[in-house]
Amino acid sequence: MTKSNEKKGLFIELLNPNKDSLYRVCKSLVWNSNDIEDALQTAIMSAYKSFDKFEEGSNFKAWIIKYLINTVFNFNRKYTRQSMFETFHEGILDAGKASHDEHDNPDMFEMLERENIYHEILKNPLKLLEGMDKSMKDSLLKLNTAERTVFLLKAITDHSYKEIANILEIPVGTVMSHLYRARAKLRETLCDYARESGLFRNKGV
Amino acid sequence: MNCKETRQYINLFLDSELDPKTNLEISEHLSSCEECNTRFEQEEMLEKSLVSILKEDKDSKAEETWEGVISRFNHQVEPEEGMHLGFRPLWRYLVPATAAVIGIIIILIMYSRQEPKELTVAAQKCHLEYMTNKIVPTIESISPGEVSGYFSGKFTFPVTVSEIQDIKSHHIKLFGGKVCHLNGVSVAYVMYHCCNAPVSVFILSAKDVGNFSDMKRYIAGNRILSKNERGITFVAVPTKQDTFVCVIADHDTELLRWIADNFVKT
Repeated sequence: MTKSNEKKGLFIELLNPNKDSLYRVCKSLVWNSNDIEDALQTAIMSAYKSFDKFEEGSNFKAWIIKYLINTVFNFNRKYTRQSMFETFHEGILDAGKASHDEHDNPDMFEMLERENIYHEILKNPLKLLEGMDKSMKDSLLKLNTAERTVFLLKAITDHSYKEIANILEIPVGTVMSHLYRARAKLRETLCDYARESGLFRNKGV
Repeated sequence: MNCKETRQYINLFLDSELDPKTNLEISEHLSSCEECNTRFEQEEMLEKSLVSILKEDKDSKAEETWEGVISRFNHQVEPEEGMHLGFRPLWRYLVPATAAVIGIIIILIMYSRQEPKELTVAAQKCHLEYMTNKIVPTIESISPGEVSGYFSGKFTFPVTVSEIQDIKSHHIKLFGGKVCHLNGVSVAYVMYHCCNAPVSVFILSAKDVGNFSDMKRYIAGNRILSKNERGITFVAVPTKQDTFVCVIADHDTELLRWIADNFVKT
């Protein structure tokens, strides 16, 4: 009894500093906001069941987020037939295609480089971002599932590429290409928004 | 490293994912190139601003959600680790358990309806389906030889269909045959017509007869002869070839016996 209490105490102790990140990742990835609490609950329960396998001293955050990601994907599967593997596999195929296209089309960041408005944004990003309302900020993240997941893991949890690759069970190279495209797309959306808002119009061109 | 090369590594550099050698080369370039250095700082700033969108405005629901999650976690973990089951978890299991039991009962009822344990019931159901054209013969023929030929080799027991003589000027006309299953038992089903009413004859192995509760009684001594509320009569007769012949029709017992005896003779 005391031993299991100790185990539970340690688990909660390790969990507490990560609650914020876990909640944000869960909220951002779960498709139905009604699933947030159930997904978190299911994830920590299944992590706790395997807590004996957790090596003390290793990265608890990366360890538990793996359970969360799996749970969230299973929850989302209620609404689609696509599995976690297919989501990222499709991404890999896309990435392969994209890198193939690169010979014909200029690189995504090189294209941004030619946009005057992008350089204006770079000079003062906060000018643009502070003026954005919440729905605009949410729509910023309208990436595909694979890109979104990788970007969120990098942004919220600040894991290394290798840790993200381990969590999602995909190659490091795939993590890199998803992250690269996510960042380029986000910047493109920012440019579109800046053009529409007219914030940089006077200075541009 | 020149400016173009350096800028290719911008993401990897800012994510601290480069090998020490490349990392050093880029750092050296940045300390000597004002333009690249500014650009790297700007990109870092933009990325941080984007990330801050995700991290800012603390969600008021987060704390509330976690409270719910942790309290549910505590409830789920304690009974598993504890010495005895508390009232609450027991109640939790009771609902799905009851639902499962009810489900099983419903399935059993449906199952028993689909597969009556009594031959009289199963055979009558089949006969009714023949009457209402829900069952049609696989082989349609008025020739006893053809129908016998269709059945030959399909069963472990012999099935011989022969001409049935008229009885009291009732003409019994062969219509066809079919292999069917009653309560999972393979049965030869021979269909006749007599005075515009269908007559069903089932031939099954004596070994399988034990599968039917009413036939067990028959073997134990009670004669089997039943009549249901629709006036459909059922007669079962054993043959010398270790088979049973069951005849069902909306006719008097004498005619049914006559047909059954015809099979016993052959």
